[in-house]
Amino acid sequence: MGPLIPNNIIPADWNNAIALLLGMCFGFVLEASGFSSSRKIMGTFFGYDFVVLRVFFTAAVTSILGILYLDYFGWLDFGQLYIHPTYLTSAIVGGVIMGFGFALGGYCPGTSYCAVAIGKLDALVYSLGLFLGIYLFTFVYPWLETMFTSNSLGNITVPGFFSMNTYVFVFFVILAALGMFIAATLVQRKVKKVDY
Amino acid sequence: MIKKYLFPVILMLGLGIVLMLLPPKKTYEEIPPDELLRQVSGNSRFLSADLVADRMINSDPSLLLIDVRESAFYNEFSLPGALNIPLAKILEQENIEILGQEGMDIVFYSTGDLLADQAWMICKRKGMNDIFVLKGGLNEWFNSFFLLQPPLETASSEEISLYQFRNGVKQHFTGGEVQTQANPATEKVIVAPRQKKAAAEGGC
Repeated sequence: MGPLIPNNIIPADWNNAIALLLGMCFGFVLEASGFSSSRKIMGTFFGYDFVVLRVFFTAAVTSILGILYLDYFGWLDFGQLYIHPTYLTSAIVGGVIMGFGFALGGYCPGTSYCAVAIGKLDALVYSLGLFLGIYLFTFVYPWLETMFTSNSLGNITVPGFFSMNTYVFVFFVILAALGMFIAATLVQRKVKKVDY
Repeated sequence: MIKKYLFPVILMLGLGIVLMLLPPKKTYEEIPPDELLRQVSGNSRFLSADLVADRMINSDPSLLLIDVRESAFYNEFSLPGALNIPLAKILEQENIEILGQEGMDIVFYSTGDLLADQAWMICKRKGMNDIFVLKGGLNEWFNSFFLLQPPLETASSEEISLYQFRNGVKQHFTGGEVQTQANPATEKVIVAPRQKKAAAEGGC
């Protein structure tokens, strides 16, 4: 875990222990923010509860600011971070499927485990379906492979792709997040309150 | 309601603006020169033929051998499982993707270790990690495993076990005949019952 392990502040053996601890903290915060309720998550689609949008954008902005400041002061090397390669076609197709499942079941993979942990039966079915889907995917992969790997853009970032300054881009992300928070509040006021 | 969010909003915006106004950070596209010097002067990039052979025999999945010689040489002879990326083509996009894989230990080799060391240097400048050079290259490999001389009878036990290991490597890669030295400790001792002395017959 950077910046502690690469700078030899703690030994590398702590990696798994820290991962477990962070995972538990993550699960706790998800639960505490109400992400284990499919009705609350569904609020984003129907406009009566925007907690998902608020939590995720706050988390994104917090982490990007944290990473960029740590990088600026030399405690963390931004260039060493792993950037997942972008496959444009599969990202779009996968996004549509994921969104469909999200709207249908009321969970995303992470929150479904969170809900399993507090004993929700629908989440249990949902996560079993997730494994079934992964299992079936391995069988159809040979047919999907060309589509799956097409339009590979490599390990790109948005500011890298448009060759703009990362800091300026981040500032626009912050503005967009704040704009969305305001818009969400306005929409929520208009939509009939739902009791759940 | 709005007041509650005022502080986080100001914090977010403030940090974002400060980030834009900070003087630009000095960045290196490649590894900084002093760091490169430190790594070049150390010997940690060299892996011995014995170590690499041991990992190959144990089918270590994280080991990836890269032959940086020309394709003609590679086709003539190469180490099992090695990929051919000639030095001249090392910066092509598909090769960079191969070399930049997470969790793989990339070991460059060439006839000696000069070409492989150049490949190491270029990839290091490209910011790659977990890259190594086969010490002595194929020459050393051949000397270690194929021009193997049995140790002297007065050799130390380390030398004997190294010989046995290298002999094992040779057999593994060539499928040659097994020439094991009989180990006296495990050899079954057959105790032959002593023949009864025949009674003396006549004689002098």
